[in-house]
Amino acid sequence: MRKKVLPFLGLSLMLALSACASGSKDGGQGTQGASSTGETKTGDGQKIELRMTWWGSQTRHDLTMKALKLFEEKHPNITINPEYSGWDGYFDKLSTQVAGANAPDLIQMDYAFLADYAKRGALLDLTPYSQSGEIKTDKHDKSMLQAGSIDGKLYAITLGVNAPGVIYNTAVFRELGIEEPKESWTWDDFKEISAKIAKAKGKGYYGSPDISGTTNMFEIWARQNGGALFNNGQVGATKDDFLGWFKYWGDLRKSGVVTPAEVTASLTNALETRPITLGTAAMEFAWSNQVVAFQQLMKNQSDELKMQVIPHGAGEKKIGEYLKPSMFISGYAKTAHPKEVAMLIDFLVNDPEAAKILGSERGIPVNSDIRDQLKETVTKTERTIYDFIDTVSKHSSPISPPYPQGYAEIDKNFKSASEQIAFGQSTAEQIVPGFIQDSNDILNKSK
Amino acid sequence: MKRHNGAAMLFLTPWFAGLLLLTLGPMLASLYFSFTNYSILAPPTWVGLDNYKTMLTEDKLFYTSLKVTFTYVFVSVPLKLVFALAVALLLNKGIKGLGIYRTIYYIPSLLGGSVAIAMLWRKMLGGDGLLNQLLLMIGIHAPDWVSNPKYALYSIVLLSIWQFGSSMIIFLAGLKQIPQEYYEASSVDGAGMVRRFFNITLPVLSPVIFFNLVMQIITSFQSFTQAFIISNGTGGPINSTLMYSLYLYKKGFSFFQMGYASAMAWVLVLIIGLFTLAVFRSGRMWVHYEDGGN
Repeated sequence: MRKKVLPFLGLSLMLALSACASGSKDGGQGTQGASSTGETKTGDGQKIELRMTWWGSQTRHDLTMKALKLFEEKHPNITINPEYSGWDGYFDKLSTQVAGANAPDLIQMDYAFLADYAKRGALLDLTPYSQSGEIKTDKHDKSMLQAGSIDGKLYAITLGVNAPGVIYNTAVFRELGIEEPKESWTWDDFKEISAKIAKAKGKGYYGSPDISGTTNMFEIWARQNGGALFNNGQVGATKDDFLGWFKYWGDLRKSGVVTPAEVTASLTNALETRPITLGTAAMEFAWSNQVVAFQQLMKNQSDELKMQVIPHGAGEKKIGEYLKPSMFISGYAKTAHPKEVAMLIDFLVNDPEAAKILGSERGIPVNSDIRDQLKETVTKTERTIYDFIDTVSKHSSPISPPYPQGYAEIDKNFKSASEQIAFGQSTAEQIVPGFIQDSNDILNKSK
Repeated sequence: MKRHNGAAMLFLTPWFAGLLLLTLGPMLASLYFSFTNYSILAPPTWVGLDNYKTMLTEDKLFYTSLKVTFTYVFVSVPLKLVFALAVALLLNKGIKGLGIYRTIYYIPSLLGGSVAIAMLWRKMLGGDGLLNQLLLMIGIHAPDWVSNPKYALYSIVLLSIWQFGSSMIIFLAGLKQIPQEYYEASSVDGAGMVRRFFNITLPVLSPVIFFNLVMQIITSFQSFTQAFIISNGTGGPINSTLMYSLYLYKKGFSFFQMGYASAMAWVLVLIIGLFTLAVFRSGRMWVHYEDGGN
C-alpha cells in the first residue's frame, strides 16, 4: 500500500530534479548560442522554430497571430509556435516552464514580474542587440527603456504604453442622466456616481466591481497619500493607507453600490467575465489598452465605452496616476536562437506593417514614428485611448520602480485579506498590521 | 537457472530505470532541496532545517492548508465509500442492463480528474449556474457555492464523491465473491435484510473496504486539480480551498520557493505514511480474512 505514496512524490519531485538536470545542460548550449559561436548557425535555409507566449483576450490572440504570420512570410525559414492563454495562471505556467528549462523563446512580460524574472537570470540581456541596432530603440521613449532595464541591463522592450483608469459605459450615464466623470473627479464623486447608478438600476446591478483586493489599484491610493506600495524593499504604504482603502470599499459594499463579497470572489481577470461586459455594472477599473478588448466584448455592442483617470484623493499629496509599460516582450535567457528572438522583437515594435495589425490593443506603441503613423487612421475606440494617454501624459507622476521579488505572494495575500474583510471574517483593523508584517517577512526572505 | 534470471533482469530493466530516474532520484534530490533555499533559477544554498522550522512555527497558511486538507479527507472519503458501496449493492441485484449501468457509473471516475470536468462543475455550481437556476424555480435563493468560503470546499467534496466509480467497481467485485450459501443459510435462520448486511456482507467485505479506504485516503491527501480549477488557482476565497498540494505548488512554482515546497512534500510523505500506518493498525480490529489473514 505504501508503495502508492512513492509514485506521487516521485512525480511531484521529479519536476524539481529535471529542472536542475536539464537546466545545466541547456544552460551550456543556450549561453553558447548567445555568444559569437552561435551566430554562424543562423545562415539562410536553416529551419528555425521559435516559441512565443503571451496572455490576453481573444482579440489580442487574433491580432498577434496575424502579425506573426506576416513575420513568417517575411522570413520563410522561421516558424513561430504560439502559446497563448488568459492572464489567470499565465505566470504559474511560465515559472513552471522556466523551472523545467523549457520556457518559450519569446515571453510577454509584465512590469510586476520583470524584476523577479530578470534578477533570477531567466531573461535574455537585450543590451547588445539594442546597441548593434538589431533592435532599434532610438525612437522609443526613454522612460520606457528605463522601465525595461534592471541593474543597467535591458531585459524587456515595451509593447505599449498604458495608464490605469476607470472605464465607463456612456449609454448608462446617458440613460440615467448622470454627467460623465471629469478629469478632476474624486473618490467621493466616484462613490456618489456609483450609488446613483446602483440605486437607479436596481438589484444585481452595480456602479463598479469591488476592487479592494486589487493590489495595483491600491498602489495608486497609497501614491495619492504621498507613499508607495514598496519602499526600499519593504512595504511602503502605511497602516492608515490600508485602513482608509478598506474602509472606503467596505462602505460602498455595505450600501450595495459595488459587488458583494460572493460576486467579487467569483470574478476572474478574464475581461469576458467582468461585470461591465456582462452588463451588470457601469464602471470598471482597468488599463487604457483594455478599452479595445472591452469594447469588442460588450454584450450590447452599441454601448460606447470611455475612460477617465483614477479618482483623485481628498487632499492628495501627489497625483497617483502614472504612465506604465502595458507589457513587455522579453527573450528567454536560454534560447538557442537569440538573434532571431531579437529580430522578432524588433519586428513587433518597429515594423510599420506589424504595428498596423497590432494597433493599440497592447497600449499606445512605444515607437514615436509608429505612433504618428497610427494616429492618422485610428478607430473611434482607439482615439479614446490616445486622448486618455495624452491627458495622463500631462498630469501624472513617475511610475514607481518594479515590484520587488516576493510580490506574487504578497499580491495573493492582499486579495485574501480583502476577501476576509468582505466576508466579515475579520475587520481591517485586525488584519492590516499582520498583513504588513507578513509582507515584510516575505520581502526580507526573497532578497 | 542463471539464464532465467538474466531474462527476468532484462525485462525488468525499464522498470528499474523508471524507478531510479523518475522516482528514487527525484526523491533524493527533493530531500536535499528541502534543506536548501532554492529559487529554481539560482543554485540552492544550504539552510539546514530552516524550511521545516518556518513551516511549523511561522507559516500560518501551512496550518490553514492542513486544516483544509484534513477536512476534505475526513468528509469526502467516508461519504464516497458509503455512496460507492450503496450503488454497488444496488448493482449487485442482477438488474437488466447491468453492464450499461456499471459503465455509466464508472465514467465520472475516468473523467473526474480532468480539467474540463472541473470547469464544468465550476459553472454548474456558480452564482447563476444550473444548480441555482433549478433551486430558484422552487423559490430558493442559493449562494454561489464556489465563491462562498463556507461552501467552496464542499463543492469540491461533492465533485470527489461524484467520482465514486472506481471504488464502486472494486466493491462490486468483492460482493460477487461472497458465497450465496451464507445468505441462504441465514434466511433459513430468519435473518432480515439489515441483519444479513451487517452480519454477513460487511464482515466478508471488510478486506475490500480496507483496501478502498487506504487507497482513497492516500489519493485524497494529494488532491490538487479540482481545487486548482474551482478556485482559479488561488485556493480562495479566503484560502478555503487551499489544499496542501495546491499550497505546495504555489510555493514552488508561483513564489519561487522550491526548497520550501520540497520540505512541504516530505511533510506530506510523513503525514500520509502515518495515516496509512494508523489505518493498517486499526485494520486488525475490523478486517476479517476468511483464511485468517495468512
